Amino acid sequence: MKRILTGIFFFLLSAAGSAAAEPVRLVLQWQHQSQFAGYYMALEKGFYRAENLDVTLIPGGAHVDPLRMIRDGQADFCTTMLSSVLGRHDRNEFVLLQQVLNRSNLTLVAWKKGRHGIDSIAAPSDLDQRRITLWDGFRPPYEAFFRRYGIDPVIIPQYYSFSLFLHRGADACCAMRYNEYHSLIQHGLRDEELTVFDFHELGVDLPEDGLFAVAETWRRRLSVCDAFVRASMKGWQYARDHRRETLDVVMRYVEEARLPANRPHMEWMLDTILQAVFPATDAGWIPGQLTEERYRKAVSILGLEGSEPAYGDFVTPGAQRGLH
Amino acid sequence: MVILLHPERSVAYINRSLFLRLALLILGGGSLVVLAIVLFNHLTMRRTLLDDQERYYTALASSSAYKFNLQLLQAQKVVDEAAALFSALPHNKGTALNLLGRILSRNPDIYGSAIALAGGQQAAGFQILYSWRAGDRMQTMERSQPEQDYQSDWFYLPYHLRKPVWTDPYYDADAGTLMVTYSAPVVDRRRVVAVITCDLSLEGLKASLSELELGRHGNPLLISRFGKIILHPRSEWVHKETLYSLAEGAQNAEDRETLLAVSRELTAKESGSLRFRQPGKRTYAWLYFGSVPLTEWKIGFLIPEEQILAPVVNLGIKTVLIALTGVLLLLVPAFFIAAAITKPLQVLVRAADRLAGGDFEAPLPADGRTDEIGRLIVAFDGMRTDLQSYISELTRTTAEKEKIASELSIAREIQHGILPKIFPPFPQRSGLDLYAMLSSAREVGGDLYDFTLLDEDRLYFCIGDVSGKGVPASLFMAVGKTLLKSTVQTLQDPAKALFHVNNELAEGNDTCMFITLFCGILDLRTNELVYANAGHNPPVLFDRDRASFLDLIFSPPLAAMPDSPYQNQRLVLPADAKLLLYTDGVTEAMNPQLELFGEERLLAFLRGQPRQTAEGCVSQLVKTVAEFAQGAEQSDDITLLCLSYGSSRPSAAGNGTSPTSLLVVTNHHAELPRLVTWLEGLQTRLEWSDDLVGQINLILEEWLVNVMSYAFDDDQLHEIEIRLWQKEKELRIEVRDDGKPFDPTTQTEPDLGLSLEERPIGGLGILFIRNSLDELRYQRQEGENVVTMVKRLETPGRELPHAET
Amino acid sequence: MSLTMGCQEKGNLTLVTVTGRMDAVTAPDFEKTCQALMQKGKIDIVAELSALDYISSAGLRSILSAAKKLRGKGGNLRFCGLSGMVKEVFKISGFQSMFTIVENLAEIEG
Repeated sequence: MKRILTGIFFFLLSAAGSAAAEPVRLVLQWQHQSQFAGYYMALEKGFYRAENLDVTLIPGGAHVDPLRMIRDGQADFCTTMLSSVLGRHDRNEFVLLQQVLNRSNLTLVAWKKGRHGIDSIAAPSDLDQRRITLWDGFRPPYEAFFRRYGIDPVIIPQYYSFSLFLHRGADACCAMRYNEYHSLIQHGLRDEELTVFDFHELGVDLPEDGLFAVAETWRRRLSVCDAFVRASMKGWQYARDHRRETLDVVMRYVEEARLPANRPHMEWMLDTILQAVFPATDAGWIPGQLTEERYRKAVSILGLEGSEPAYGDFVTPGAQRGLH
Repeated sequence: MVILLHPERSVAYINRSLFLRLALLILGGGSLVVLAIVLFNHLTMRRTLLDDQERYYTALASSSAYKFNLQLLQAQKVVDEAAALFSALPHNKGTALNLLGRILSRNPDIYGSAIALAGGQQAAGFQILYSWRAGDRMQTMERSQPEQDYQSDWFYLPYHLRKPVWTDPYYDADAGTLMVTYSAPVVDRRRVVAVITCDLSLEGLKASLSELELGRHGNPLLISRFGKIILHPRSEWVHKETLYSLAEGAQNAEDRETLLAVSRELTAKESGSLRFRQPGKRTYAWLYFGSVPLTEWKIGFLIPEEQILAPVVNLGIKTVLIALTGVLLLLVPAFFIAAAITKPLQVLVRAADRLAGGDFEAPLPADGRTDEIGRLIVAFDGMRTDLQSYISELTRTTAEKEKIASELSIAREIQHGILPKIFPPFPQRSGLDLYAMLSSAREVGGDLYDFTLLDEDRLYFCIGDVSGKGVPASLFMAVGKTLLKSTVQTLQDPAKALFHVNNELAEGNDTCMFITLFCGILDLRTNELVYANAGHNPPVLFDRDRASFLDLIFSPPLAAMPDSPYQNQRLVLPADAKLLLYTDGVTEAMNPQLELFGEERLLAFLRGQPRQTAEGCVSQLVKTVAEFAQGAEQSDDITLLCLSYGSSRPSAAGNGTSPTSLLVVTNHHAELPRLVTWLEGLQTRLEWSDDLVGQINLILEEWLVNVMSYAFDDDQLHEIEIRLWQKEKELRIEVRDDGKPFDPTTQTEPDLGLSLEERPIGGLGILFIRNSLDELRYQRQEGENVVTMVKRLETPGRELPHAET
Repeated sequence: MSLTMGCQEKGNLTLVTVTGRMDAVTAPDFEKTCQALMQKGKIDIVAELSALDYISSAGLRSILSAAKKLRGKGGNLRFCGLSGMVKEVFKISGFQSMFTIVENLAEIEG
């Protein structure tokens, strides 16, 4: 009798708990794709609910500024690139809750024989005076790259696509290894036609996607932030261990959003992203962590020394430790 | 049902039954031919159809692509003109509106058109103007978010590429259709100052492609530059997949390879066709395609092979059904034909079975057919009749033949039983060499010969031939021979004896048989021969180099007519000369060419036989005659009698006395049994022990074999004479031959100590001779080897009186 | 007057009973018989000679030739039951010491 009563009590308690779930909105930095697999799976497998969070995912896009959305209170958390935050004037208003992608996926893809197909691009120095299309938002690491190798290319803005490169209007273009690089391959370009400058390998290794909140949120809703970060990491771990299921979920998001992404592409993206979340070997960091050393290095690559927020203020203790 | 349940039994049944085999052969053959035709037809049709379809669809794809390309070209021209105009005109809103109107009015295909000024031209009063068709009217607006447009491919690409561009197809939400945009840069003073575009709806292309008759499962395919899928039966792929992403996402390596091969082929060729296995399926499909050069798109038709081949398959099924029906229909005539052929055969088989069992009355199939079967029935019937009459004939003649055969053997027994056959007949008469033989024809001819010593010095001999054959002839011959012998013994005169016997036989001779006969008496002391002839062939006298017929007075044969006169004739037989008596079986022997042996051949043969014994002479002649006949059947008895009488040679062994016994053999091994017979005779006469006979036999065999094997180089017959004297305490043997000199006393003895392997074969003969004898001497006399052997007797031998005394 | 031979198998042995006379005319028959046996793989032969009345050097020649061929195949030719004139000839010729000769078959079979 006593047991039954106890059971009923706990049931009522949990029901009351779920009823009072904390609403949380996460704005993603781009349209639905494998890049955000961890959040999908945390939501899908109930990791957020288990933390008593009621999470809504808001997809991003070309005209969505996630940081502005959380600053304006349209969302609670956002994912975006570390460099995007550090490059902003209002950078001090944000805190890093979790460094999700800890290695750079940036590449510069060049026609191996130049856009006219008559000369050779093999080393960074070959890019001097070449036409290169660049994403406006990602200029700092590229400029760091150009500085490092003393290159002065002709820069053309790169917007939605690499079409100019594809039409041989440029010698090189920006490409995320997990995304545009693979799209080029899916457009029939062959590896042997291309020279890929991988920033991770070339030492311009900026940490990328992180989970951000405005400092205010972090201060006032500390437990929610922690819970969210914890559940998100669980989602990533689940995605790592159940790739096929994860891919199915990703494709569901892609199809519901009527996006033109195909499954092989999403599979490639998932595999590549997971390599950046979970280090293969000892990479000097653990998932979710941004060490002070790497923070300093990023600041230095971005040329922000002196104007950067203090590590202790910008990087929350959770992100300093990594992996909840 | 039984047949179906037991396959091995049904096979056995089929093998046994000609009917079923015929039926199955006809059916099987027919079916095979039909099958081959159907198969050939199917394959040819298939090939032809595939070729036809390939030509047709490839042409269709190319023409669709060409038509579309033309449409693009026309739109392109309008925009290019506008661009040229715009660069020459002031860049203001009025000009722009004017041009937009002009573009839309010039080409009804164009849905909308934009003029976008490059940055930094605030004076123009607009940034991007867009006009589009709204029903019959044209509407124009200024784009509200030009920054976005400047980043779009339609502006971005021509601006940076400085050349016109056809964009990838995109879905235009405002128009609600699939669009493609042509953008041409307006270049002024080497700067791109504006971009002018036109939008073309792809609905028209889609509609015209879907209107094409591609069959139920055929689908149009549109692939833009870089392999993007724009139009495809799997709508979920459209705008999402490229040929390369499909390959990447393929379920297995085989599908991936197929898709990559398709991509390669599509990129590499302007137009063409290719056959590939459909990913995820086991079936094949064809892709026929053509190119749109302006956009580098491919228009293709995707058609499953199943659909293309459906008519062929349908036709194939129909053909097979018709063929099957045909074969089933063929069953009826096949069974009829088989039955028509086999039914009479089955009746024949039954008749033959009964015939084999001795029943000649089994019914035959009805006559009246003219084919092979009809002829077989007639032949079978004829055979049956022949067989019947043959069997009755055979039964009759068998009895007859048996009778004749027994008569023949009786005749032969009479003939041979009465002739003297012990040779040498008078071994005690050294120097007398007589041999005779009679070889009967199948049907006994009644030949005869005879000889006997009338007293110690006179030899009677005769030869004759009874006319007629068989038992009567042989009986007549027996009577004649016996009568003559006793008459001669009585009268001691050939002519008188003949006269007497003739009258005896002629009297009451109802059968009209007669005997030709020659007889003579030889005085062995004087060598004088008295002879008379009764119509017989003249004997031949021959020696070393001569042969001639004896001079004869011809008198009628015996029993021909009574009181015929016969005369004696006389002749002294020269030493070494031989006399040959013969019957006409020799001279009239015939070969298959119907030539007679003849008297000339006979004389020639005898001339070549100088140093033969009588027996050698006779056997050689028989052999020669047989060779001449070449296997032709001997039609008459062949009878020969040869005799010679030479003075006895001086003896080395006998010390001048006549030997106890004499044996003359010729130089071939076949003569050895005669040696044995001779010794056996002597054993009985002289009461020798078995041991002694064995020893003498061994000695003589070894020596004779030695002489026969080594003494003569020619292949002539030679005589070897063996004389034996039995004395009181010893046995003497003298052997003479006219071969090469050979002295047995000087031969070395073989080494008896050798082992089997070392021992040469032979060489023991002389050893045995020496070992068994007490004395061995050798002389060479007048070209002859004379070997004298002495054997002492432990028990005194019985010394017989000499044969001569 | 003739030579006859009877063959009888006794295990691996083949007993050839020789009857009659073995002279220049008949002797080759013995060698032929031995050769026929050899072709059938019978190479251990015992010749029973008690009924052989007569033998000459031609007979010995035939025996020697057969024996040599048998030895060449790894076989053997032995004799038993020699008597009288035949025994004498074997003695004189030295064949007695060249071949295994026994009184009767039992000695070989034993």
